[in-house]
Amino acid sequence: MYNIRCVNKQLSRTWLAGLSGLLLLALAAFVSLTLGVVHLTPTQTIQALLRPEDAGITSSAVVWSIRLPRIVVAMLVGSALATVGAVMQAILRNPLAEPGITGVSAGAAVGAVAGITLGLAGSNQWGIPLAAFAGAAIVALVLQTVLRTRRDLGSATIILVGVSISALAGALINLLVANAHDDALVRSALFWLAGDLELRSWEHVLLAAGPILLGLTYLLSRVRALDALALGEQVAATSGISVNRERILLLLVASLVTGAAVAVSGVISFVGLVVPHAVRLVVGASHARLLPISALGGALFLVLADTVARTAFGPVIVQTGVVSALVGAPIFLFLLLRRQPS
Amino acid sequence: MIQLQAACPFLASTLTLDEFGAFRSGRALGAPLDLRLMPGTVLGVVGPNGVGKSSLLSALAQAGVQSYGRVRFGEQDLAGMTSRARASVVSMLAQDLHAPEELRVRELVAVGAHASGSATPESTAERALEAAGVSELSGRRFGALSGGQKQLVQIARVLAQDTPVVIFDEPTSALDLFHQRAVEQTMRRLGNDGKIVIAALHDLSLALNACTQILLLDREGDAHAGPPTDVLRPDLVHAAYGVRTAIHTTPRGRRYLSTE
Repeated sequence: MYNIRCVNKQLSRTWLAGLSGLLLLALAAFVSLTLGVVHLTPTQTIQALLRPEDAGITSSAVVWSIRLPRIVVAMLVGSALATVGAVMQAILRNPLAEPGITGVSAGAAVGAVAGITLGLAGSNQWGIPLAAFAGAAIVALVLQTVLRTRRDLGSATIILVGVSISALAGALINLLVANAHDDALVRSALFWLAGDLELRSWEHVLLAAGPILLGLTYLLSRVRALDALALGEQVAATSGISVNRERILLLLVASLVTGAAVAVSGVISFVGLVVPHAVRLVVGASHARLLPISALGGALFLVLADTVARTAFGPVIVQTGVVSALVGAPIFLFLLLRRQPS
Repeated sequence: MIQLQAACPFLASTLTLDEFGAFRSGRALGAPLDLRLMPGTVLGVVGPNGVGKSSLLSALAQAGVQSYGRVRFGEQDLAGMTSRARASVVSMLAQDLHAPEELRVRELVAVGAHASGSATPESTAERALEAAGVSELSGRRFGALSGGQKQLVQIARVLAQDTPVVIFDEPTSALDLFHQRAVEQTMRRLGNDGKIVIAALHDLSLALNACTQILLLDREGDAHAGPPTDVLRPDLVHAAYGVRTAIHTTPRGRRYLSTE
């Protein structure tokens, strides 16, 4: 009886977290729609959303062409990065794993910059996301190989590996940018490298939505395998998981999702670290609950971070990635210092 | 071929090692093993540090350690089975007990229940926790457990998987005396239920009492297999560990090993 009540309590906690997350997300999105240089009242915003033809050119353009696509991109990217963070933490068995810190996002950025400066973007709209995916996948597989062959190095090693990969990625990006044959290409490469959601359009939504939603659906279907992988290779291998195949598939899909996110937002770090950690405190570490709530929490986190970035600091331009880092970096440091030496 | 226990009618569920051994860093560990383990065997794998007990166990379970030779359950080659099929034959307690801190104990044990294909994983997990003597921990966070509790909870995960072959890598390394005895009883009970238990052990007195058979590995790569009192003879133990020992029996019939 006691145990049944316990299970129910935890289940209802998850539903509560999910529902309140959805409500908060809707509220945050709505508030974000009203804020900005052109200030809209809630009534104007609702009118612009539901009856744009009656709302006046300015408010409907602000809502539909500027703010809404930006918010949707923030939701997609936030849920992508948070979910991928939780997945990487399970596969690499390292609570500090996250696409930004490990250099997977940096790999995606190299791919995307290569795509932009080599002119792939012009020929095919999928050129840049695919190039970003390739970059992310290479880094993810290198990371997994390094961590598997040198298990003796301890869990903080992942940060050093990430630092060296990010340094290498930075060098490659500089090389690509310096040798780009067209200044416009350089500007567009540097533009989103900073991790900003300025001027996102429905085109960006369309570009990111497919790979992110498909990838997240796949990741959500592998929650049992992730539960087992989080217990270690030996346990997973004897619990019905084909460890190598599962890990590589999961990392490839995680790279695809990261690549799509980076292709429309640049490198935004710490979302994948902060959100899953907070979500675990509320709904626990079972992936069946952790992944969907992290996706929701990531969307909420990035919508909030982006709203703060574009409204709170007045004339100073603050990028979304900066706000994310302002929140995330101290938490990262705290987690790092709290860890016992392994 | 060293045949452990008299031939019995359960040939379909025997575990057979043919010229089997593990690799570590590309090097074969010890001499190839030829063993046949009948249902009900509780095999204690003992030997000094570094002889490859853990590697052997992981290789047997096909858990990421390279091996040579063959290991079969009945007629099926374990290496040739799918992971899913193998999960209904072999379960394993690893030395690595680590799990996410916020994972609830019942969720961890449910990993074993899911691996067994249980239709009611929650109640399977609760029963396994009870069998491991830790049902009161069911709702606790894994990170809040002591080292010994973690070990018992992981043992419960293995029990929830309910496989005919059970591998324990040092199942009592973090346990106090009381819980060591509990695990010893669990191992014997699994044997009585007709399972094959293979456990790497450092405590030779525990091995004497818990196991029906012992596999002693020494640094020269030799292996000795047989009943506990035959294999844990003072001369063989001395050859393996370089320590002089003697086997005693308490008035109530429990054996223990003393060092000199």
